[in-house]
Amino acid sequence: MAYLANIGLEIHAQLRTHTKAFCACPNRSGAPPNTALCPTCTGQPGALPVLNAQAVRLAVTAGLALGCTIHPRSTFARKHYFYPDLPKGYQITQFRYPLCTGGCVTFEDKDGAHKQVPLQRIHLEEDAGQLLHDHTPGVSAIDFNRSGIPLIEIVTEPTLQDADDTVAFLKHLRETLLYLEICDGKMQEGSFRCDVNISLRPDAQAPFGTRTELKNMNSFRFIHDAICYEIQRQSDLLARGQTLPQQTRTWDPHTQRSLPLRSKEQAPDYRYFPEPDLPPLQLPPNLLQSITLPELPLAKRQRFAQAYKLPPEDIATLCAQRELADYFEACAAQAPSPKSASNWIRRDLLHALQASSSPFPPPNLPPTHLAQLLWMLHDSKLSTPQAQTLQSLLLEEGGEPEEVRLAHNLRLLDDDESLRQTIAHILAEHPQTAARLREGEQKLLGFFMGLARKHTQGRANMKRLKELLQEAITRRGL
Amino acid sequence: MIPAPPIWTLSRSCEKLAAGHITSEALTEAYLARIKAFDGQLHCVLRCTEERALGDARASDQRRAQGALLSPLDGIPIALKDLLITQGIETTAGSRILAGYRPPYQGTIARRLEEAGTVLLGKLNMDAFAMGSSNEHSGFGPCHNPWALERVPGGSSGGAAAAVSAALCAGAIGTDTGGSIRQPAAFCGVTGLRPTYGRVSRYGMIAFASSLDQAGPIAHDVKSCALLLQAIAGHDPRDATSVDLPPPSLPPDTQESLRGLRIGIPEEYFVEGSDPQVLRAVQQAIATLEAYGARSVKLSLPTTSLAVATYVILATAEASSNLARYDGIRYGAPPPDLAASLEAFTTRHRSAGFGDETTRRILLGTFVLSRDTIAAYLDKAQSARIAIQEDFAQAFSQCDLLATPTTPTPAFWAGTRTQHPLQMALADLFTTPSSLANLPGLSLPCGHSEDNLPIGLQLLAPPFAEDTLLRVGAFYQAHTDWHLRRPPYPPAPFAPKRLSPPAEPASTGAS
Repeated sequence: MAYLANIGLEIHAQLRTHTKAFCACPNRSGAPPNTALCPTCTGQPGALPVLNAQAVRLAVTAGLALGCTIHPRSTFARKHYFYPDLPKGYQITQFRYPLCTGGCVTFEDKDGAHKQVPLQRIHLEEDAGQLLHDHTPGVSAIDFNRSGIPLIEIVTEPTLQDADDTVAFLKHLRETLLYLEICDGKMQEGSFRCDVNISLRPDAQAPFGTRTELKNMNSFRFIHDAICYEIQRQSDLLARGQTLPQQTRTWDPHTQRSLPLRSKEQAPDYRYFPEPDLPPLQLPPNLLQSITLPELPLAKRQRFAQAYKLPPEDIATLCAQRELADYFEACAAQAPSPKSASNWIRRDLLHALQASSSPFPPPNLPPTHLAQLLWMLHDSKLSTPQAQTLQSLLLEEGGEPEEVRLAHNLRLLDDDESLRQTIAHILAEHPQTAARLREGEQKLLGFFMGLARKHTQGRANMKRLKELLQEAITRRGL
Repeated sequence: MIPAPPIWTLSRSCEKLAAGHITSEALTEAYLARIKAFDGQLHCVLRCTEERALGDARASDQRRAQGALLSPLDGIPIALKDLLITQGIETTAGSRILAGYRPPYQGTIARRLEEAGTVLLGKLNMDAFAMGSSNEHSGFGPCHNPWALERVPGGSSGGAAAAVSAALCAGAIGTDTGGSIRQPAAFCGVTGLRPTYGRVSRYGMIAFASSLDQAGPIAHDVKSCALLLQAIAGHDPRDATSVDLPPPSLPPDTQESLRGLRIGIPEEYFVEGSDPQVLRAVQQAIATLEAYGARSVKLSLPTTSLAVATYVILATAEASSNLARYDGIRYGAPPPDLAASLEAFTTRHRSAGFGDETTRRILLGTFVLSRDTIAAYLDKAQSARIAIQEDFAQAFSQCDLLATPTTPTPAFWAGTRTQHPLQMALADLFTTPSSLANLPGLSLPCGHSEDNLPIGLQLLAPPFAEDTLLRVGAFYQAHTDWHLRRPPYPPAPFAPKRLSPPAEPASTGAS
């Protein structure tokens, strides 16, 4: 019997604020352990939280982008449990009156069809510290740098039904948060992670089945594998007439299985109650109007397809990062054609940046300058290898492209005299092949073009050379 | 003859310093000598910061010589209830679980008093985590009432009230959640002010019940309390619940009369069950105010009977939450051996460190917040709290302030209520309702029992109307002298030059 799966997600995304949610400690990844601390985020006696306004702004931005109702008034609550990485013994979160409710996310599934996932809520909360079990042998070490970092928790309705859709949705959501500059989406570092709740039922009319929760998943591959495994595991149990306990499980990628963490009887009572140290959050009256949303991924991709007529693979690469898409557009506006800009950026520019581990966007090569370089190619002022050299020079030192080109003498061998000399030389070097070309084996043109290129170190104006070569072989005596 | 310096009120000491009659160093040495001589019997002081105090005092005298005073309180020796965080100076909240805790940061109150140029004499005894009404639940031994050593000084600011009463400091800062400034002030015959919730920053005040805790001054008279309040009150960006209002002004030096003042007398505070001597003394005090033009208005506060239950539920719930951080991992007095499992480690640490009363309240608070009971207890208590607030608001539409006894009885005998937590809680019967309503409250000495035990008059005002309390309190004290009476212990007078203990053994001085 095939069961219908219902998958609901709780996504935790770290917000890119300058400081933590409730104190002025810096919000920076990669700092040495326990160097971004203060009385508040280490839960010292007598310390108090103060709400970070930037965190509120980013959370509201997320809510607006995802179609939520933004509540002008929301409250904070304490969620209690004991764990070494939770310094106060409770987490400050939002419970009864969250910042956002409702909302809906449209994403493209793997076949390109549009699907929707309704959201339940988005709320603000703080992250806990990090336990490191491998740092020092024999002990678990705690790093409180992460304690107090602001998070938004995004809760979906359990309408997703399979692993493919779930991953497609999550990728889209992550990309959206990147576009909004709310979250850096670094899943390995833990800034975007997800609890997955899965239950099965015989059909859509049946009530929801018992739920399994997979906690703290931070890899799309693991999420996909775990969901497939869980659906199979639960189907097998149900088919055998067994009941499922409501459980929290963890995914073990090494054995490719999920393992139980705790069952409902052991599920903690979090004793939620309103946070007395923080007054209710009343949004400033102009906050919503002051937020302009950037164009979001789906809309951008559709517009690129229509406006630039680029194929899907091009669009996928260019739109993966908002900065890249913006760079492309600025360049395409002045380049010989959008496709030329797309090709060069995707292949030559990105390749060069990756090779030298340089950041994007390149500070020394604005998109308008790249457009000029593309025109040079278009007008055959230089060859492709020369253009790549010019790009490297510009990336390194900047400057006006035309000036740099001339300063480094990057130009095609353009005068007919030099070209004819080259042609004469290569034809003389390969008399038999030349003869066959004269006889009519047109495909040997390519062979001689290659020789000419090598002979001139790529500096020959190949267009003109081809014309002259054609002339040369039709004229007898050369 | 000039009375010995420590017998001066804090405000008088300010005048003496300003007039050059004494230096801060001499004043400080006198208090340090008294602490050495008498605190052995009283046990008000958990930690005397002698070197720090003398350094503060000398610095103050230098500033005075250069005409660069920091505030009207520059050079005044004060002490802080050990609930208040002092950077680098052991702060325990009166509990063994924080024995040896040296805070890595400075609390706002300690910082403001430092910036005002006061002299820090030390940290004062208290019921652990401010949970108690007798100072008998201190993790470091009880404190004794200078009026009768076998009686309690009250709590949880017992050490602060007793220290002021015994003139071991010029003034003190205590804290009040359900009455912990006012009740010990009444028991020890001194003046204590609980400010409106939000007046004084709670950053650096170890939390007991976050929506009820407030720090406030304890001193001999109203003017001294007002001076201390001015130094510590005011908005603090580190406390999101602190209000942005300027501190209340000092009471006027002279007032003609109290004509126009309406004093509400809530009948629920004058029922049988209180000690008749208390009722008589308070009624006499009210009559005094009426003699100077005030008019009393009889009214009713029907929600009074809800207050103790409401308070117990809300305060213990918040306390169980605020004390969750004491897991022994980042700070705290560790248990003698580290257990293998995390759960065992935390359990042993908390069981060893928390005393009985603290444990009792954590258990009760946890129960009240549990999934199955929260609606019946916490939610109901929150509704009751709102009803209590509305009740007071109604009453204040008919009067400018309320007058009640501070406590139902004078100081009780030590050891008589420790086995009866509910009895103990009833000591706060008259102070908890106003705490729940976020009102400011002032306790003034207004009489003595036949056993020569102090009796306190409580004045309550609408939120942020401390000016009224201070004005009326100062007027009362200008026309009475209860606040100037000295307790039998320590024996007086005590001449400033003699720094060794007095010739008579201390025990003959006690009553």
